[in-house]
Amino acid sequence: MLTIEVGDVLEAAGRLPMHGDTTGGALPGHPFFGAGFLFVGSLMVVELLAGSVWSRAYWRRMLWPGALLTAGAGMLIVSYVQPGSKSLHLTLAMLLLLGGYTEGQYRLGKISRASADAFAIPVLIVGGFVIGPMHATGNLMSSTLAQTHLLVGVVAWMLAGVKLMRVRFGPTLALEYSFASGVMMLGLSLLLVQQFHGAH
Amino acid sequence: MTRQLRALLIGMLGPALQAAGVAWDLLEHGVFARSEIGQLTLQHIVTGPAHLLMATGLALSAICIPIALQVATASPEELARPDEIVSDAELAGELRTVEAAK
Repeated sequence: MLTIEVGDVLEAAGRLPMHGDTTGGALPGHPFFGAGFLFVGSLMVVELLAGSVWSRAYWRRMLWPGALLTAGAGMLIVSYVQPGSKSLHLTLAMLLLLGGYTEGQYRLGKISRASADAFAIPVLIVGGFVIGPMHATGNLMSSTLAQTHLLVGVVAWMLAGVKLMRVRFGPTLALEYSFASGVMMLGLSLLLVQQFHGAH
Repeated sequence: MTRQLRALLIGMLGPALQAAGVAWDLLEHGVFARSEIGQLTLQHIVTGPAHLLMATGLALSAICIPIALQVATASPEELARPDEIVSDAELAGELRTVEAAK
């Protein structure tokens, strides 16, 4: 029977060489934010499928604003730790924190959906510019890394488009599913950025 | 959508993500970067997108299986979202108004 000692596994992992890459030795942020958004986007799809069953637990109702606030705090750490693009990361952190605050206010019933969207739509458009064209280093025509960064920005603009359609046509189940799937896509696009980051 | 189908979709979302992660990893190491398999780094294991996709799927499965069970045993009223109930009631009210006007 095969037995695996935890200590041996940790020791073997410790012997693996650490990779010196574009982040100056620090762990890159894209994959963790990607996994986080993919996780939360998936749970938003589950929320739509589960209906009122989802709201039986209070923490589930506050998951989306909580995730945005956590992502904002994480981005603050990234802007502190990573040597480059500090102003861009700080801008994203502020947008995420403010987005989390307004979504939280909406879920607590203190502001209307329209008020929350009036803030969320410009934030998604600005955030798309910051993470997309502004953060994409390299030639957009030849660099895959630049193109994947642009893809993240395009996904953020698509999310803003879904929100705009929601304002125009009112809440429909199709738009809700589109937004949740869009958040999943945002996570996948960030994972794609990591795939082409040259860290492995 | 029936509650069984909803429960199935909720329960299968995590495993589907894990399967996608396995496929991504197999493609990466089996097709596109076969020579790098002997040069794995700790950072690649921790931050590899395919590995994180699998981890996300695993975490999602752990959270979603109890929810899938709750959905499978819930009543149709519980599965409707609150705003759906409101809009259905509004629609019924509008229909009644139209019928009364006739």
